[in-house]
Amino acid sequence: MKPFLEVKNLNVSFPTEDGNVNASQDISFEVALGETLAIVGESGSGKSVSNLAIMGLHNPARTIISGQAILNLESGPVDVITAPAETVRRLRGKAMAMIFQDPMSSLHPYYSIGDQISEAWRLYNEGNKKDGLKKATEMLDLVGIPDAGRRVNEYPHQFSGGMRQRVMIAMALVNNPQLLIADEPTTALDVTVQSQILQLLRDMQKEFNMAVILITHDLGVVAEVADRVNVMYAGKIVEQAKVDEIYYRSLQPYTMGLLQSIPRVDQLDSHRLKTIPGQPPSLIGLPAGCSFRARCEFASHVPGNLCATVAPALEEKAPAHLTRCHLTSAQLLELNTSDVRGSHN
Amino acid sequence: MSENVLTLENLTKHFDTTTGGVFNKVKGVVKAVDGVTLDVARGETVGLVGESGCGKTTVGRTVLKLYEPTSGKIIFDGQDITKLSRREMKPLRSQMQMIFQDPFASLNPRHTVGTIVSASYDIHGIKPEGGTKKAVQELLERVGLNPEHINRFPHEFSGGQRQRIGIARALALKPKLIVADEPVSALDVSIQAQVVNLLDDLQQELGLAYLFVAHDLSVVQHISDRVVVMYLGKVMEMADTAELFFKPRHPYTKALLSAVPIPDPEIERKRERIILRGDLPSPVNPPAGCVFNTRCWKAQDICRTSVPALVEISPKHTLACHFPEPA
Repeated sequence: MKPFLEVKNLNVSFPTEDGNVNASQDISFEVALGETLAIVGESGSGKSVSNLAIMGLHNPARTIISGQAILNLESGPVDVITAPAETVRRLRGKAMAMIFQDPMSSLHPYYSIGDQISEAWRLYNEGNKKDGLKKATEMLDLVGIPDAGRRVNEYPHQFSGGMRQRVMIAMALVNNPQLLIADEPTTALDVTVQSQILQLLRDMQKEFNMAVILITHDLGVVAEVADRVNVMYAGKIVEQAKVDEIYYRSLQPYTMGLLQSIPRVDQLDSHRLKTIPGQPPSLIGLPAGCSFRARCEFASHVPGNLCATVAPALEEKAPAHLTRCHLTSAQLLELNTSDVRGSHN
Repeated sequence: MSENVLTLENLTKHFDTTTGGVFNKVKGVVKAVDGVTLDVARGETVGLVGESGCGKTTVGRTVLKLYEPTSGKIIFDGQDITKLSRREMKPLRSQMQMIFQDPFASLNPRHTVGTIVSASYDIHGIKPEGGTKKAVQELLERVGLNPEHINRFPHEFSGGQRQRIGIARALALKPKLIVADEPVSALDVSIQAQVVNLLDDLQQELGLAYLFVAHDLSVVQHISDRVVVMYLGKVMEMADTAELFFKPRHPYTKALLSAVPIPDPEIERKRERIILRGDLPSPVNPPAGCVFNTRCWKAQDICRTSVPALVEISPKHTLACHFPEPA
């Protein structure tokens, strides 16, 4: 069986006065039903941009999109990049749904929670307002909002941050989507509430057997929920593998650097944090070669001037483990000191 | 000279909530900080952690007297500054500085880096040796910026670099204490480590003391010598970093630590989490008894009626709980 979502060579760029911003380039990945794919990267790495394209949420007048993003629906495959806007609109909120970082600005302040959830339901289901409110109450109950019967009539400002995120999840799931894209869903929340929401997302994924894409910058959250991981840098996927491969056998200098630069709450380390020097490059007119080379500590191991002249392709260097690097997998494994299990001191 | 650069005794800061309008009556009191006692030694880093709304930022700001304390005592470098007027505070201000969370909002976009960093010299009428320009350039170099960029504007820098400008500004007057309020939480992971290391280096070189206010427990653990855990305006637990993180006694500390995700999939799969029910209660109407009782899995009747006192259970480890976790 084909995975539910297949993204092939997706490019998104924004024309500006200074030139094209190549926000995400050559993005290819798949997500199966019941699977969680985490997309990690720093701000500006293109992790949100490619997913907004899948949801059809870019302004077509200001965005250049190419490539494919195929949803393998029961009724047959649909490429949401080339499909007419009306087709994508009918899939949005039904086959695919999205939740955002900031639950306050994603909810309408003038309408009650019940009205907003029931609106989403009534778009795709026969039923009057009363049925919609009944469904909304059911959903609030499902996502763990106590006293759902009363709270369904309340307004967003009467809910706390964590409760609002639960409302967003209830709204996203009201039409049983098969694909849920969660863009930094817990970044605005406190850790104790974050763990509640991540637990809820896991429970909901089981309940609805969804494909989940979790966009985050937090490598702790990734370790907690992901099955597979895409690591992004400067608009490209630089490593793609199962979660354990990423954390224990990374084949990508950037990933290794990231893993080593974060302090861990379960290890007492007073040593200096390892840092990745410099900062990410501008996405306008990226120079030839590898985008990470200026910050890469292993660039000197590559013979000649290869890193500066040739951009490495995303290659499978170990089973189901793709990376962009001119070094061989043997070299990378030897240089890798980021195996998080090895760093216990 | 006293050993502590900062001592807080039973510090409280209450904000009135008002009805607004013509009469603007007081309708309630938010006890943002409700009896905080702590001290910071010279050259030490004390981490102040807790969820949003716990009062950690208010403590930081009250320490610098950006807010007038409601009651309690603030002793800075051996001197009681609680009741000092703005004018009396001014000479002391050079010795206590602040670094802010948002490197975009905390720098004036119309001023050059040079003007921003040298403002403290002008305000305090200090003529640094060798001239202001040289002093500013030295500061920029010290925080890892190119001294030639003295005439650039904040928008020409990235987030991490702007945070370095904020740090240079705080260092200009050679303070004894820096209150750092979420100094790295707006930065990307790879940049966070650079700034954390910079703060570490500066402390070693200059003997600075930090009151490090943050919600990211991994960063706090890395940078702090001691850690204070706050909840709804009160101190729940306070101990040396190793003790607090590896032998927490307060149920809240334990729950907070168990909620922090660890970047290690195998550990995450085996881990058992304490999931706290519900959210932080409103600070306008905090629960009676122990403020944590509404979310605590160990709460019993006494927790709902009597406030647990903050007591020293072992040297340098204080705790406010009726039913602490076993040592």
